[in-house]
Amino acid sequence: MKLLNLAARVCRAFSMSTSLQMRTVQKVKDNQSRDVVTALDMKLHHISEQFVTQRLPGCKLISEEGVNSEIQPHALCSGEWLIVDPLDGSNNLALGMSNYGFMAAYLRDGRIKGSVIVLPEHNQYIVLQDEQTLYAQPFLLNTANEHGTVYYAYPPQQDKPAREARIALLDLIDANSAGMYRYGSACAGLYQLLCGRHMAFIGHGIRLWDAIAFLPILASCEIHVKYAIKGNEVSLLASTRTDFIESAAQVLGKQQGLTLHNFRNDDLRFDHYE
Amino acid sequence: MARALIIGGGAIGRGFIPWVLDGFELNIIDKSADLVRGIAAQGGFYSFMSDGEKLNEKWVQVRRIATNFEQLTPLEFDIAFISVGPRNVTRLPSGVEHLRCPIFSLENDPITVEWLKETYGLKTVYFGVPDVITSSTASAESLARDPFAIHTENGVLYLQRPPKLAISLEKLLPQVHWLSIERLNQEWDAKLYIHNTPHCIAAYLGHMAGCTYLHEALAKPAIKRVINGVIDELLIALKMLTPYDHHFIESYATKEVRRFSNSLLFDPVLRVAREPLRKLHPSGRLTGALRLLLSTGVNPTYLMAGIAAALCYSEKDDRDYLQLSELEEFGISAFLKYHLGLDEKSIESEFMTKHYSDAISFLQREIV
Repeated sequence: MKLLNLAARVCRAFSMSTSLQMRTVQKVKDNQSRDVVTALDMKLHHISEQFVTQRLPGCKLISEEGVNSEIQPHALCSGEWLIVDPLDGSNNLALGMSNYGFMAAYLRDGRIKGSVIVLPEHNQYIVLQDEQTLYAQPFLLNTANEHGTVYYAYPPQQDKPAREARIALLDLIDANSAGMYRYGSACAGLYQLLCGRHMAFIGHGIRLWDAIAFLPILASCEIHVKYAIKGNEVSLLASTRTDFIESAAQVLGKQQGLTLHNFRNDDLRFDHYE
Repeated sequence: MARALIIGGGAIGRGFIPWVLDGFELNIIDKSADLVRGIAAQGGFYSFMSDGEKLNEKWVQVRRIATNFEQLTPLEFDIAFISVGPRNVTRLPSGVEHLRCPIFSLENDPITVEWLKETYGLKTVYFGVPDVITSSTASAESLARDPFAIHTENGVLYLQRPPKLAISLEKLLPQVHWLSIERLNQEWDAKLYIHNTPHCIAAYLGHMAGCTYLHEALAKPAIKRVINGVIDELLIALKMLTPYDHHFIESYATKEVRRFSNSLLFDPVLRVAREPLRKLHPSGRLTGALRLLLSTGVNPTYLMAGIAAALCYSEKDDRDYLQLSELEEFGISAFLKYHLGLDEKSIESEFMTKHYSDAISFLQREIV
């Protein structure tokens, strides 16, 4: 498995895509004005497709910009999968703002065997391959202030229990941290968590490709992770503060009946929809 | 008897430093358990110093050698040297923070002094420049006598003069050149560019040409021509840009090729070439030299050939091999941006991107 090769292709594409043309919005998905697709989204999607064809024959591709975005329960438990978010933070890119990146997770028989994360603004990639983690830039792990900020990501449309959970989570964040951040890219938010600039990350019913690549990276940096995966949706709590994670997990359990698992790559759980 | 501690028993730490520590009881910390076990069993090792024509030998008596600080307590030393490689200075064994003696970083980069202070809360850390070529191994003949033998040339150790240097310590180190930080920086510039730049380029070219030792590489006329060209380019730029005495840098340059060519050193190409990404760092001996030349209007023809040789260094056991093996897929511009933090619009990045292919063609024609 040479995921560094995928990272190299993606880095090159980012470097060659500084023109305004690549930022052009090509479509808006599901009438959600913040869910835009730029030319660069499509370019990175095609690079992922090409990589799978050339380097991972037999592997199935799930991409935000692909056609098979719905995942059957437990489908990920067997076989090879590459789960890709070609451009997380497309709207930021389209607006000429910062915070965007590429994420891919490679799963084999229900285990995350590799990850690729590329953050062009930080000149950074993180590649997990063959149980080795490669960083483009030397990576200084800082411990966040225990009352630092929390990145909170949630989708625009949530059902009533989820909205009630959201209100409770916001209360929890306000009571336990220096405040909530949400700048349109889970990829950038999770990276800042790794760098110690956020105390915690909450992904509340976000899409699987928005976070799954980070799971083994977070764990390897001794950041506690609790999660629940249902289809192509994931709820994810990550922090060095276990008490905060447990409180947030209690909120999700009480308001939405969610049971979150402690992340262990050798025991990745995919839950059924109820 | 005064006590010295050497952290890192590699080429400089084991091969050269003991020659300036005659009046000291020697203690060594090294991460290699095999090395520690072996030297402890022998009670020391041989270092062979070349004067260019013959080898002088020295039995280095080691009082204590260990892989960690616990085995060296009490940590009472009069002087300590760190020579573990720049990438490893922030990963020293626990216990280093308890050192209270003057500590000298011999890591080829003044920034390591700050890293050591910040990482371990140490206050008495200073910079040092070992102006010497030391192999990490020895000739077959020397190794037959002692598997831990090492060859070095007769170099000079420049140390930053601490504000409160004990007279007794200064007297015990008569061979050391104590310099102010300003004067040391001058030595550093000379060493970084006139010594380190052509030295590592010789290794990359030697690797391309299939050489094992550096003196084998310098024996090839095509490689020697490139090295002479690099030194000439650097000399012109240094004379234009720095206030340094022209005789000083010229005399320094004159002896360089002779030093690299020393056939008694058995300096492995793999040792000098290792970790090319560190050497390509914007402030380092290759990209830093490129900026120096471009900023003075000197055409870096030979230097670019050396940089191209570093970028296509393909030694599978090297720490940077995985990244370098994907160079083509990254493209030069993105590779430099992600691994060296070089902006794509920077003069260095634009020059390397534009001239890389031509440089490779030159290398394939002249060196391979």
